[in-house]
Amino acid sequence: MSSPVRFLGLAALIASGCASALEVPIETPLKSKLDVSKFRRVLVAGFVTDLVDDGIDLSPETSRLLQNQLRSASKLQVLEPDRPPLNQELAKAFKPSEDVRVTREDRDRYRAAGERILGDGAFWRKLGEEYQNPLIVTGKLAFEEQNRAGFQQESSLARDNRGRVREVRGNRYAERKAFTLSADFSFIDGSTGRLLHKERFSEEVVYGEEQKVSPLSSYFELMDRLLPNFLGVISPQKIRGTRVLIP
Amino acid sequence: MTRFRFLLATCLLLSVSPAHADDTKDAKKEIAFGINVARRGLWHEARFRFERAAAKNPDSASAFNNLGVTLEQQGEFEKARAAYERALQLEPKNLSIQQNYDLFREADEKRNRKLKKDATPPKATPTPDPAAPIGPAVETVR
Repeated sequence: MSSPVRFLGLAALIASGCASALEVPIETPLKSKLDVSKFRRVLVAGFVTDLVDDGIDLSPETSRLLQNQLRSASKLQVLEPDRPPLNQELAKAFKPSEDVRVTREDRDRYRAAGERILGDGAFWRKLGEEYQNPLIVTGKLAFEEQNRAGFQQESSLARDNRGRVREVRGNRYAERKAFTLSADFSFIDGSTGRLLHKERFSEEVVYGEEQKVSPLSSYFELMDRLLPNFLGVISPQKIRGTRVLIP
Repeated sequence: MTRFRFLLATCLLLSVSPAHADDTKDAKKEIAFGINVARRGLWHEARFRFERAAAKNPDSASAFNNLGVTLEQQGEFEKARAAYERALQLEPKNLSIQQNYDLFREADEKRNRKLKKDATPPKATPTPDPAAPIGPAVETVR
């Protein structure tokens, strides 16, 4: 047999072998971190935030978003209180000073009151009784805008006098801003008031000077990243990938 | 020389028993069927077929590779690892098997990292006192 014929035969054989191997999508299961089989309901009870909001009413926005997500991603019945119970309790516990301006002391007192309620097992048990022993989701949230303006290294290609292309490096001042979202989620057993699981998530996004993004859009972008991890605590997740089946 | 050739041919014919050839053929059929059902998402049936193929022809790298894929899909990671490793043992130079195995190990490492992170349980008292404040908790920082 001549060489070209042999080569063609070999190529056809390889091609047929490759063509018959089949790439299939797979989804591997990942168990939830928390066993929530004993619960039938879930209550998003609100969150402790900073006294001064950064353009977003963080606790009700987050509660609403989590309720929507839980409705589609979990089998638990999602309870919908008119106002987040934690924030109602916080409003009772914290009396702001007479001054119109919010002082640092006010913020510290507010945060301390929030911490106290978060750690108050009796409060959670009472709330649990009221809502028929649900799994309670609560915690602390912080959303901040930060100025990240500064000098950035950059390089570009330029021709010198002799027409040769050279890399030119330099520093350029760039206006940038970042938004960070930190969430400490607590999962509490409504029948005992006891903490079952606590987890902290933190996400950040940096925007260049040409990007005009509102805090609310940025908040949703960050929550979008954070949600799969939050949901992974109480509902099984799936890792997607592809594998090859060989005939 | 002619006598030697005749002897060699006879030995070869004897070594390939009809039963073995049938099993290999059957295994191939099972694999083809398994692939057909796997691409429709019927992973339980696919697993059954690939297991039968591997039993009929324990030297079939594709049967073990495909079994590895179905076991991984079903969340039986240790068995999947063993199946991929057996497939690679049978065909060490097969790039498709190597690729599957590499992807499997990558995903497995991710899973284990996540599990390790979450392994520390919250400190719980045996008889919870509802009035007591919430105790120290697990803190997983991403």
